[in-house]
Amino acid sequence: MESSIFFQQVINGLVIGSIYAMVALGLTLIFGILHIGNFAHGQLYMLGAFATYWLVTLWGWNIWSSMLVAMGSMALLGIVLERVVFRPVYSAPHINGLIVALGLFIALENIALILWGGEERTLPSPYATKVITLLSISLTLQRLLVFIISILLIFLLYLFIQRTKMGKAIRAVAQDPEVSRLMGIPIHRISATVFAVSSALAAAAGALVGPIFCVFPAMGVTPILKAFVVIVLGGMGSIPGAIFGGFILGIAESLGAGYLSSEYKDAFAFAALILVLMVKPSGLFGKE
Amino acid sequence: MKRYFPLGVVFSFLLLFLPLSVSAQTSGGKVLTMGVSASLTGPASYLGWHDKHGTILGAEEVNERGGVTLKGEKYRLELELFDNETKPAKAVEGMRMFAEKGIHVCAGPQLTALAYAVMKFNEELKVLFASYNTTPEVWEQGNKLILSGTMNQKWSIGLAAYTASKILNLKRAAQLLDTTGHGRSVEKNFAANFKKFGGEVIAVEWYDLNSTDFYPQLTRLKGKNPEAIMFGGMSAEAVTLIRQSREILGKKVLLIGSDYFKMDQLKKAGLDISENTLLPLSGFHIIDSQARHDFAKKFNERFKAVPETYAAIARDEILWLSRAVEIAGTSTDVFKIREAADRAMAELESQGRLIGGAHGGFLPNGQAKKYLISSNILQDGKLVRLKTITQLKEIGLE
Repeated sequence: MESSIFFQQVINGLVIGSIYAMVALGLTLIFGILHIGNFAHGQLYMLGAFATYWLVTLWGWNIWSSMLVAMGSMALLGIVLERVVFRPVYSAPHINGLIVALGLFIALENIALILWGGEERTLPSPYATKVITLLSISLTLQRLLVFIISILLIFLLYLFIQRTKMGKAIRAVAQDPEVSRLMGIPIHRISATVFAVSSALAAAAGALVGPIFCVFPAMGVTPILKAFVVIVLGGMGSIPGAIFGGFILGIAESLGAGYLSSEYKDAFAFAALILVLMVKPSGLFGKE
Repeated sequence: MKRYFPLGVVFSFLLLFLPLSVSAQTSGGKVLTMGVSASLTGPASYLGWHDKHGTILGAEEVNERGGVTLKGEKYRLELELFDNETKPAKAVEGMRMFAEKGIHVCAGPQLTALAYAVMKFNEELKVLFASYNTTPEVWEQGNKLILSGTMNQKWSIGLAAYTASKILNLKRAAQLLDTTGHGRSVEKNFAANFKKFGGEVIAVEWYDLNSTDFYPQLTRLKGKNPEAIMFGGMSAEAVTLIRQSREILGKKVLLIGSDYFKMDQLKKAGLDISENTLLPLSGFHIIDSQARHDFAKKFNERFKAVPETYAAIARDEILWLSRAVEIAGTSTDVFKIREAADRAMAELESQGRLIGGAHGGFLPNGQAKKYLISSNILQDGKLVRLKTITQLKEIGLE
């Protein structure tokens, strides 16, 4: 019994960790290129969940096609936000970008509240109530799919960054924007692409957790806070850092709440962060 | 494109400062304004939505009957609705705003944490408020300007503990509660009552109000092998809690909803997985009166939803406060209005106009004299009533 409880907690941690990793990946990509702490990223997670919810409930689409459309819509919204809201502050001090992101964060949540109210909604999914039990470890099909699809999307993103010309350009801009510009890399197109990819990832994460955690305007707050912890933990701007940081945080929270105290579940994220920063101030995968 | 940027910033800030309080404006004649502090946004927005619409219908009902009569003059009742965002500081801000506007009587804030917060100031501000929050500790503070709506946690939690132990014969229970004052009070009440009825609480786990991931807590409870789990949280997380509980603990464990769990949440979670859930239903859901049917019909027609108990209680609060103002003959002397409140409640009750659940009024400390409540279990997709009481002594509690 004791070992099955332990493994159940590890699985709980892996599933929530995969969501943290997806949200953190988008955040770290934007930070790597633009050096902006994009708080509004959490709201794209929320809007992605709402878009999926409306497509499923109003138009009767299945959850996967709804998720894909939500990802596409959020990618477009990401491009618009980059062009209209963030691009004008690229050359301004970083604090300006941070304040704009914070303003956008609050504005988007308020828009959602005005449009849809504060009520929590359950995103219908045929997989949300199907439970798989193996050796006393229980998992709904939805949670299993959350984990598998997250891993798949993370892998695709990794391939995109490592193997494509655009990915190489993104890495180049992350390393040195000025030299990249001189080499003829279209910086603005790279920024727009990064926003599009990050927003689509956030939307996918929101759509995936909708059937498990419910959909509501404030649902982006906790993930974005955790994602910030993850990218600091993993190293600002580091893609492997965001992936591993997400899983480390998920498992630390789950085991901490399971074996120490559930009352301080959210505090474990910050305790883990402090511990890592004490040993390695630049984060696990950060450059000194 | 740069020229759009300042416009975007201005637009964002306009959204930030959108006025969140609205007034139910009507025209003509003398007007008496009553405050409504509702959680329209934040974790308790589900309750706030019902509060808002219940009070609107309550005010309409008062006005249809000729409004509020003060010293022979008729006043049209209007509401000043304030969104407290489910935040204690915001609720205090609302209370101050009411006082500044000369509004001395209000319905809400209804939640424990918010009631606690405003209770530090309402006597000084001279604002009398009615609250349906269920936490006994709130009523034991000695605040003279708070009136109990209808519900009382001692009843719902007491009956839930009785049903689990005495009727369903379950002796090992765990608790999963939010860390608010409400959750902490449920924890104490349930543990004491369950023990009194021969059971034992073997584990207690906690979560923050905005949580959605309860898997670590539920997994920890699974290790303790409970026969039942008492939930002491808000409606907002009910669906998530039920689904995650069934996933981790299976269907054999009885889920006991606190007074916030209702049938529509069980339907949302899925009736199949909600089987074997115990609900303590109060007042509105079991009262069979013309006033109740009229309210339900009107609410459904106007707001396209089935009213919750909270809507009915909020409506009752408006009727109650209005009548208390009439009896007191003043809308500003809050102590006189407080004095008149018991008589107002008794009158409304004798006329069969209360639908939220109170029968026979309340004692000054918020304890119900008589209260209609039943425990119900979901079996084969239907709620089966296990026990109904109108007095706590019927189950050996006082």
